[in-house]
Amino acid sequence: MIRFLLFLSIGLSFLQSTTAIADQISVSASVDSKIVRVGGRIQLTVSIEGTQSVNAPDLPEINGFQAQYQGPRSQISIANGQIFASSIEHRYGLTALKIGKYTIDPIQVKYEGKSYHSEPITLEIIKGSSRQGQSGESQADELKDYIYLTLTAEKERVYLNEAFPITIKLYHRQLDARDIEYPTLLANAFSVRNFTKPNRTLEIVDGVGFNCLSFQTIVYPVAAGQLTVGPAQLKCSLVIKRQSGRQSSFFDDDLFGNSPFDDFFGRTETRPLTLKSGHLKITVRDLPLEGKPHDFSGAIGKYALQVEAKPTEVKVGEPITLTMHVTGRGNMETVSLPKIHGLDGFKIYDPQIKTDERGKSFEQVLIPEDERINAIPEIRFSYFDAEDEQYHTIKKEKIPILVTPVGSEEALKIVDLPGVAKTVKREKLGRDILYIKDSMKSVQKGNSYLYQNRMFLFAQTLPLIAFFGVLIYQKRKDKLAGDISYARQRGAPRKAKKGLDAAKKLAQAGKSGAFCDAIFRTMQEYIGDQFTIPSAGITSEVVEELRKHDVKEEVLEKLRNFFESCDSVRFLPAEISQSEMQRLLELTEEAMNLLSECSK
Amino acid sequence: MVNCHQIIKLSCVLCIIFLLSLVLNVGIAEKANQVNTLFFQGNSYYKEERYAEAIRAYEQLVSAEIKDGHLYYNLANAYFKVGHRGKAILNYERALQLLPRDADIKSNLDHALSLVESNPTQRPIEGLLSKVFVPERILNTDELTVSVFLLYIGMMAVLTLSIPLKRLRRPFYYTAVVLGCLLLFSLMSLSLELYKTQFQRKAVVIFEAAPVRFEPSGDATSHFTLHEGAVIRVKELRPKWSKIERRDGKSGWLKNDAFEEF
Repeated sequence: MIRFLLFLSIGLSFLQSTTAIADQISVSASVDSKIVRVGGRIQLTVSIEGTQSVNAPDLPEINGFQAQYQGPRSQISIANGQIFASSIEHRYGLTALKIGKYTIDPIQVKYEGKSYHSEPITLEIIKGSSRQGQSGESQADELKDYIYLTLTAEKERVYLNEAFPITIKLYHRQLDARDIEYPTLLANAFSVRNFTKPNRTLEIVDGVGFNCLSFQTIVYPVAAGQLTVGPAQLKCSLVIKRQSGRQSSFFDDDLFGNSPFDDFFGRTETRPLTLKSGHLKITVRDLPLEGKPHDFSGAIGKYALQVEAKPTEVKVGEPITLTMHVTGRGNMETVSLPKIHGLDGFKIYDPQIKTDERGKSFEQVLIPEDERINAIPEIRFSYFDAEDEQYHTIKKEKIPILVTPVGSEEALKIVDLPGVAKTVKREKLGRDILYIKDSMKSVQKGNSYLYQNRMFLFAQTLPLIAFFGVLIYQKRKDKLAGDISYARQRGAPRKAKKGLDAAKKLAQAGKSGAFCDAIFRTMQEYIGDQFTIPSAGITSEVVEELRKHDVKEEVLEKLRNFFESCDSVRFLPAEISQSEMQRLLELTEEAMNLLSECSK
Repeated sequence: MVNCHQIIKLSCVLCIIFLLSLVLNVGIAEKANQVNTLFFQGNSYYKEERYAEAIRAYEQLVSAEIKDGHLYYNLANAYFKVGHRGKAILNYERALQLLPRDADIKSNLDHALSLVESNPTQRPIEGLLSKVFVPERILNTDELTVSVFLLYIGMMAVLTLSIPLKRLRRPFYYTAVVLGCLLLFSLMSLSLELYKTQFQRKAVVIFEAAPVRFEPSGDATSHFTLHEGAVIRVKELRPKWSKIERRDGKSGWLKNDAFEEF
């Protein structure tokens, strides 16, 4: 019940206030961007202040655009239970169709019989382009109202080698520029130093506020004439919102969001951007010849010179360190060692040069070689001041020093006590050639080297011969050990020869029985070894066995003949003659030769 | 009986070889005596400060194609004493080629080179490869050849032994690989040495002042002047003129009689 009363009171007060502010209606129209590419979309908003009871107005015909109503958005403001403002916005989507400049005529809104009009709006449709693959530089052109790079020099007329500052500024607004790199500067015929750490400032340009990042460097020309510096180039990345259904545009204001949630939820994307500045014309003049000091060595700027010598009391041969410190503003690289006139009697070493932010210092070691020297001569340093365009010379007066001679007894005296300085006169070593050799070292005859000696070259083959010899021997040995049939075959001729020799002796002795036994056993062993069969059981029946080994019929016939002859003597008591034994011997040798051929 | 015959034959052959070697040795010893006599004679002249005679004695040995590091060294000393720096440096360099580790030769050569007038030293005459491989200042060509041979013999011996000694085959292989790597390194050093001997011939200027010209002609413009003792590299050898290169890379044409090769 209480809730109902509350709503009722709000409803009544709303009606009351609506009628109260009906007289204060205003109509306005706005677009989110006045420049749009062909195919792009912008939003037209018709705002009616003072009431919410207005339907969407009919738009006048807008050339170059196709309009589509997107819906209303109403707003009501309540203070102390009283409605003091109400409004409604009707939104339209406008799709750009044709390049050109177009005007949206005043939009008419009717309310309670009265007509209200908005102001006309001028729009421009420009040529469309694909965002994909668009180069960083063309994007930069497109964005020049939001982000750009400038290049300025302090001077436009300088002298050769005169150092002057160059400033590169990055201006940006409404954009989230990140990963800003140090700029690069195209400056042929100029020597460019490293850029300093950039300064961040806020600057107003034509009434518009920009964030400004300023980089500074020092350059100096190395050639005279009309020279060009620039353009400067700077790379950075822009963070833009990602839109679904439509490609993002740099012109869409609503894309430049900085919400950290966008980053977190991946609704943003980073696009690389390369910015280029304009270039500068610099006139570089040669240094004037008039008034040029004779000891001028090219220093340009405004300098001061401090000189210090330590120690000022030395003995002959001891070093004095002369420190010359050149400070000031200008091109330090043109600053060279100040001139010391008349250093006769001093031994001089090359100076040590150090350059820091404050200036350049030269440490020159001078060794007086004569006790009559009483001062370091006058030191002069000349430079050209580009501001007053005059040569200047800084003169430093003679520095008095006291050089004492080294006594001979003092020089040799070494006090071996802690904290007491040792004085040893530097020993001067004489130099000459060393004496001749008494004997010859290793006499060689002729001009040839060892590698040209034929015997030496032949000796190179010996290890190879030995290697292959051992290799072949080992292979054969391995085969004999591993292959019994091969071993038996290889040994068969040797054994046969031995058996036949024994048989021959028996034949000569006339022992026909023993002879036949000997040649029979020899033949048995030979056949057994050649065909890898047990020797003991070999008889005349072996002929049939050998037939399987593809032994020729002629050989088999000889074997059969041999076995028959032997058997007739071995098993019968008959003696055989010498000639018969000789025949048997020949038959055996013949059969063995034929068998060895067959076994191959 | 046959064995007896063979033994007699072998003994005869050995006797003949022994006699021949004896005769040969006698000849060699006689020659060595002559060489030594001449060398000691040169030394005596030198000690008596009769340097010209010492040079003559040493040069006789050199012209007889006697190669010895000490001979070249003594000859260089004698030339140095009579003021011929070019010849002195030349012979020190020759001595150093034979005895690359001899400190006396190095010392004398350095001293002689230090006295050469305007001897540019910007760039060493030896290249980068010489530093990577065994440089000639450590081993001479014959020593390098012997080291290659010994490594080769060692590697082959290990490989040969690995055939019958099957159980030790793995350690033998590893040893052979190590020896093979060393052999390769030595072989490359030797090859570099031979390349330098053949194609990067070094020489010493023996004239007091020798103009180096832009063209191989006496009328050509003089490029620069080389002084006695300057070490140069002979790039192209022609009958009368040779193209040479100085230590700092400058090159030109120099008359052949103005320099002598190592």
